[in-house]
This record gives sequence, C-alpha cells and structure tokens, in this order.
Amino acid sequence: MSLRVVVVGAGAIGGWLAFRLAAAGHDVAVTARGAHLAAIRGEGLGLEEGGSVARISLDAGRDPAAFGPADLVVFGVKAHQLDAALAEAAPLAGPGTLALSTQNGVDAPERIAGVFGEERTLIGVVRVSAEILRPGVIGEVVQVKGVTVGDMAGRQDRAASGVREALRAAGVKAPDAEDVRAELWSKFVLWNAASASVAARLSGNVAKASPEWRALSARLAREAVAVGRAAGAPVTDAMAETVERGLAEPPDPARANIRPSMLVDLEAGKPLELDHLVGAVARMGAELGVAVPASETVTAVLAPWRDGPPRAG
Amino acid sequence: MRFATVATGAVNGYLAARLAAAGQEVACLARGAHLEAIRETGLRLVTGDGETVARPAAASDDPAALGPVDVVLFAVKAQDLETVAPLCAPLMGPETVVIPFLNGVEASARLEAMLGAGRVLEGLCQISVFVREPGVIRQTGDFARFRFAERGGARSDRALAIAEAMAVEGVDAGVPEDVTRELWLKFMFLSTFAGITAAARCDAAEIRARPELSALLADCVGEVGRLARAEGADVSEADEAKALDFVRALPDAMRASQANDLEAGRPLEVDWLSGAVARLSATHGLAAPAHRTLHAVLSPFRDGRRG
Repeated sequence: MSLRVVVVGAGAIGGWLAFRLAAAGHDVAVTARGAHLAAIRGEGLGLEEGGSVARISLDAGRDPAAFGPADLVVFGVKAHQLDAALAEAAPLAGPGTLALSTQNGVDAPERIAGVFGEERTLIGVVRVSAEILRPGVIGEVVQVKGVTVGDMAGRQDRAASGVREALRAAGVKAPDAEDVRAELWSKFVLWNAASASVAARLSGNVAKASPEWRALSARLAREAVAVGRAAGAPVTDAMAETVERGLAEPPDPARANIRPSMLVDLEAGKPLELDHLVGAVARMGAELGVAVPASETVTAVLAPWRDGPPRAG
Repeated sequence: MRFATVATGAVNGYLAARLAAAGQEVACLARGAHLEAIRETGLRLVTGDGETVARPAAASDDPAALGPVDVVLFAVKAQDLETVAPLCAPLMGPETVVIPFLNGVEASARLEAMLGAGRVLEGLCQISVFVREPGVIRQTGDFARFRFAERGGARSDRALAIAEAMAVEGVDAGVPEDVTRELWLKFMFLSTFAGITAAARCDAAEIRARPELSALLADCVGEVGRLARAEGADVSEADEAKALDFVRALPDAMRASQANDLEAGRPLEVDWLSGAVARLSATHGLAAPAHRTLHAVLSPFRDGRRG
C-alpha cells in the first residue's frame, strides 16, 4: 500500500528516509530550506551510493502543512528545532496520521505526542550515519543498526507494524526490539558518554588514549543510567557496561574521523542539541535529585556554544 | 648575593632583567636563540613604562659553567619540573637555596624530593609576562609580586635576606605572614580559571554571562577551598567568596594562559592544576567532580595538540 509521507526536515537522516520511501513507491513530500531546498526542487533529491548519484523527484517546500493530509509524518529536524517544526506541522495531525521521531535524546517522542497524540506517535531510534554532501545530495550512509521503530509503550506490533514493514520494504534496516523505549535510552546513555568527545573536541578514537578521558566517558554513561532509573525509564546497568567495553578497546586509527553529530555541529559553528543530550541529563539530575556532576560540568563547558560560536573574534 | 635563573623564560627573564639592572649578580640558564640573544645584547624588558636592557653577569646552557650561586630562582612549566630540576645540582653549594615560582601547590615538595630537605623554599609569583622573541620579555600587567618563605610558612632569616636583596625596582618581593595560605589562594583562582577558560574555550565575560559556567565556577572554587582546608591551609569560605568576586571583576576578554596554550597546541599544566585538585582531593576522601571533569576534558591535550 502506498503511503502519503511528509518528511519535516530532509537533512541527512530525513532526506535519506525520504529518498528510500519515495524510491519504494510511496508518495513523499519533504520540507527543507535555502540552497538544499532549491536543489531538491530543481534537480530532485539525490542519494550518492557507490560513487554515483541517483535522483528522485518529489514535492518539496518550506511548509509541511501544505502537503497534508498525510499517513505518516517523519520528523527529521534536530532536537532543538523540533518545537518549531511541530508548530508548523500541527495541521497535519489527525486520526489517520502517524508521526515518527528520529531525534537524538529521549524527549522527542513525548513532545511529538503532545501534538499528534500518544496513540499516533512512534519512537524512531536512529543508528545510521549520513551526511548532506552538498545541497540536494545525501551520502556517506552507513546503516549501523538502522531505525528501530515502536509505539510509545515500546511495542512494535499494533501502530508501529505498518511503518516497520514500509521501511523494511524500502531497504531500511528496522530491527526487532523487545522494548523500543529501552533502545532509545540505550542510545541516550551512549550519547551522554560521547559528550566527553564533544567537550574535548576530539573523536573518541583519539581522546580515548587518555585514561582520565575514558573514566569521564564511563562516568557520563553511568550518570545517564542513574537519571533514567530515577525517571522510571527502562534502563539497565548493562547499557553503561557496553559503553565501558567500547572504551576498553584500543583506539582504532581508521575510525579517528568518526565524530558525534554534536561535535560535527560544534565544528561547523551550528547550534547544538546540548539541552536534549548531556544538558538533559544535567536537568533531569537536578529535577530528580540524582547527582550528575560530570554531566553538569560537560554541559557548562559547552554552554557558550549552545547557539553557535559565542561571539565574533 | 648571587642568583641563578633556571630556566630563563618569561618569569625568570623578568627577574633576571630587573635584578641585573639593579646591580645584582645574575647567572641565566638558557639555550638556543634565546641564549644567543641574551649573550649578545642582554635581556630586553618591555613594560608599560618603556624598555630597559640589562646584561646578566653570565648566561649559558651549561649549569656547570655558571658555578655555585646563593639563590636559584626556579621557574618552568609545572610539567617540566622533574626534567629541569637536575640542572640545579651544579649551581648548588652547601648553603644554596632554591625558590620555586611555579603554578600549582606541589612544586616545593617535588623539588625537595629531588634536591634534598631544607634546600627549597615555598614560593609563588603574580605577574603577567611572556617571551615576545628571543631575548625580549614583555610584561602585560603592572604587577610583579613574588612571595616566599620556608616550607610550612616560617619567616626565616635566609628568606628575609633574599627578599631584601630581591626588592629592587619593579620587583615586589617579600616574606608573607602565611605563605601556605597565599599559595592556596592563588591556586584557588588559577586552577579554576585555567580549567574553565580552557575547557570551555571562553573568556571571563562568558563565565559571567552563562549561568551554567557561573555555577561551575562556584563549584570549582568550593572544591579547592575544601581541599585547602584538608591540607591545613588557612583558607575560609569568605576567601572563596572573594575569589568569586575577583573573577566577576576581571576584564571581559581575560582568559588563562592555559586557554592560549591549548589553542596554540602547546603542552598544558593541567595535571598540576585541575588534575592536582582531583588527585589531592581523592587522598583526603573528598570528591572534586568539577575539577576532575575539567581535567578529563583537557587531558588528551596534556602533551600538546592531538588529532
């Protein structure tokens, strides 16, 4: 069955999903801005694979509401852009419309549910790296674990099943999971550990040569587990232990260029998802009475860069 | 009184120039182009008031050529102490005293472990200087304060005699009532300001403008205050409040030299600043998570640029 899909924010991940779904025969519209939007409108959305660029034409514009009604709305914007995107996409919410999160952090599904409703909101846990190579063209796609999809209770049957099937048929890995909420938190724990990489402004594969840095990264993982436990989230100590095992592996020079997306944003002078990642751990720690001093300190040293570089010169 | 400067970087270059200009006998340990410049034209000191050129009595890269002296003024980057300290041996006679002017609170103990009990005073300096080019020392502030006394704080005759000899034009030298307290007060500010401005790549204005950084500032100062008291220093919570006020009053663009060193890819003193707060706190069973985190964030750069 062909779905009408609106991808709000056709960046690297949103654009890749839009391309895949459109190529699989779904009726896809995307929102984007600036040169990226102009290129998509002019030449279609491009996906570079194996050295050649495939293009597909689809509806593209700035306002998601213009593309309704939709069966599925995929939010591809950054976590700090989600509230603005939700306000624009609110007219798309309806009894027959599902909304899928793809954001880093753990708060996006609830924020989307506030507009689209608990029953029609899906959690998407994205473990894919991709880039906008140039305006209109996505590439460097590595489907690490793909996109794990479930409903707000973490279940993959019921509301999530149709979207999972559509993604799989479009060539997107959409793995099975017992509890997708646990997958979301597991990624959050990993990302809190990776904020040590952002603070040091180094790939983890370089920074991990320092034992103190490794200890910080492990501590950040444990702090995220601790706030998750206090918040009643389905976290386990195994999530932090997985991070620690990765830190114990020797640095891999071949992976020295792999950087967390928040570090990529920092180096590009873009706003950071700070308040939805390590800043969220710091905030939840304060709210729940859990000591998270490492998360607080990392948040503080990144605070001047939250909205881009602090000041010219 | 005969002085030697080990080594003759910015701080000791300033002292050597001032002492030599006042007629004191100074032997400079230096090397490379800096040594050549000192030998050929002397040390040129550029301050807000103008320039002076002074010729030290001797300059060499071989301490044995400089012979024994009465006082070794010891100023290097904290991480270089163990490498440079053995160069003091040829300069030391039976009565020679070594005064460290290093960042951190461990220099005198580290030097004493290498040079022998009773040979090392406790010292600190407050001065803003850099080596502008070989042979040229530039002072950027208008203060040049040097304080020292016996380790443990005693105001000995030998410390007082050295202070009297060093009290020349442009040098505020003295033996304070409580050198341990002064050392910790400087460390409270320096470890905190260096850790934050380097890790956050920011200046004093950003610390004031960001609530998270203001809170971190207070946490860091509190950690050093607790450690100072555990180490027996007379440092109170009122001193912590003064340290916070001091940072709040700094010029907007001010940042610590550690932030400049990080940006320039030079080695960092972080193991002897935030790292020392974390390490020494642990020996007292104190948690110092803020400084520990700053240390961890900067630790990949301890030996200079990476990646």
